[in-house]
Amino acid sequence: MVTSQFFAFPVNVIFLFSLLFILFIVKNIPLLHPIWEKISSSKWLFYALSLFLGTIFMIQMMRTFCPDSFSSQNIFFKIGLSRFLSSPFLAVIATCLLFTLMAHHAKQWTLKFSWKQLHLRLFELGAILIIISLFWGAADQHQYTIIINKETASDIAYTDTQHPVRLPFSIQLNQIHVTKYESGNAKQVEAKFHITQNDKIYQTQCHVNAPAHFHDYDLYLQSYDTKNGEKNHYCVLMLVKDPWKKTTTTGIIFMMIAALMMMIPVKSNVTKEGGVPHD
Amino acid sequence: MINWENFIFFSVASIICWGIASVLSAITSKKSTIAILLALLGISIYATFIIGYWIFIDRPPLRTMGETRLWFSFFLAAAGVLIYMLWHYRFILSFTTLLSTLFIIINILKPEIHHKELMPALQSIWFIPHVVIYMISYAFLGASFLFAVYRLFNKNPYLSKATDNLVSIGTGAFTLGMFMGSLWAKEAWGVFWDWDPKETWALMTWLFYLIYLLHRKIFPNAHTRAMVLLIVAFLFLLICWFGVNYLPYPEKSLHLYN
Repeated sequence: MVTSQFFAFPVNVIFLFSLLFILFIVKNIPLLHPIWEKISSSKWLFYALSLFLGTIFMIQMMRTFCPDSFSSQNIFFKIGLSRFLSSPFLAVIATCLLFTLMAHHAKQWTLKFSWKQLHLRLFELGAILIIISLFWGAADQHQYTIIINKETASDIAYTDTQHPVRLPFSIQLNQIHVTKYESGNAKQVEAKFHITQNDKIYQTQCHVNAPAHFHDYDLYLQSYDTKNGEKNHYCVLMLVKDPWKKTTTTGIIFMMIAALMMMIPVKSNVTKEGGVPHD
Repeated sequence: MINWENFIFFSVASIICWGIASVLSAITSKKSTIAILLALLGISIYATFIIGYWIFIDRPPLRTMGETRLWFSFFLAAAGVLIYMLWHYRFILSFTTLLSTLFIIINILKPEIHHKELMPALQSIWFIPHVVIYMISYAFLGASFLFAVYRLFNKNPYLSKATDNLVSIGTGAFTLGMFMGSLWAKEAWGVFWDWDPKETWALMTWLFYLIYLLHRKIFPNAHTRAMVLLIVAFLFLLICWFGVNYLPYPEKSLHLYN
């Protein structure tokens, strides 16, 4: 059975370049020009976007109203009609959107440049980067959970499916620091720990909303024993390795700049007398 | 100290100012300075309450549904006066006052007041901009919904242009809010996107508004269909904002902080 790991690097990158190559062929062969005109049009982007929205809506409805569809044995789950993650169905629809979006974007660059259209180009470029990294880059992302304690260093982490993975370093907890409100509820929780790799020791810390970073890994404080607070002898960290993080962040920044430009008020459409004409 | 007990006095004073400003702006064909000043006075009174309440609870009042409704009413009123000043749409103040009043009444009847504490997950620099920019976007998109309903009964083509302007600003703000949330999620949960019910409804709402903007570009004369799209989009927005809490399995949402 083909799992999402099959699409990990370099398969995903080869696939994306193939998409670009197909677009290049369609655009440059005169016989295929009518097809290019269609797929690069705003109308097709409209259809692709509507199809993507419809798909997400259908999956969300299924998740909301058909609890049985959560089961991994359920036929809808198997074909990806009731899940968002690693869903072949959603991946196909997202790829259709990506293909149309890339064609539409490529056509924009053939038109005369206008500052008024800059935000649209940034918006599309950002969307392309985000779809690529979130759908096709997902296969390269790894997420593990590790329990660390004060007594011994740990180097075995676990995947979502409880599969053990040996890390290239070990982690040992130094201290958990809890800031509390007068009521006794936690305000902030911080874990201080050290990482050992090749006999070198790296002191680091993380707290909720501020992960630690070590080489390619981001380390998040996932949970701790709420009853013991600072007397805790262990805590749970989540380790995330995401090689597409910078691509996604770049896409997000492009879209945010475009969004800011969208918010600049456009010229009014009022009449010469001022205001919307009387009814 | 300003606490929730004082809300009714501040809100009634604001509604009176906005109400008079609405009537003045609707009956005068030229831009009414008195209407603008009155609307601004109402906003200032309302802002005084928000600031005072913020100081009283010692945290940003952005955590509960009631608190977000507080901001929605504020930004809707502010959006109304801004639009009136910029583009002189005569009925915008009436629309925004009506919707702001509705949400103020909901807050009076169902305040959803919570204690002063802010849990570790909400102790982030993203918390205030993420929620505030969303509330600004809801305000503009709420105003566009009112225009869309009005446009269904009024064939004035200028109303469609006005609606486009509001959707453009609202969608821009929505994009900012959504992606600020995405950057925050990466810091807090390790993923940019988690397909949490709230996130999924936000994505669907955003896509709906993008589809509306594309639809307006492709079919500029299909006004009625565009306005129906906009009304449905606002229903999605309402589900995203609070409706999602009433759907089955909301307890799985990472966005429940009550």
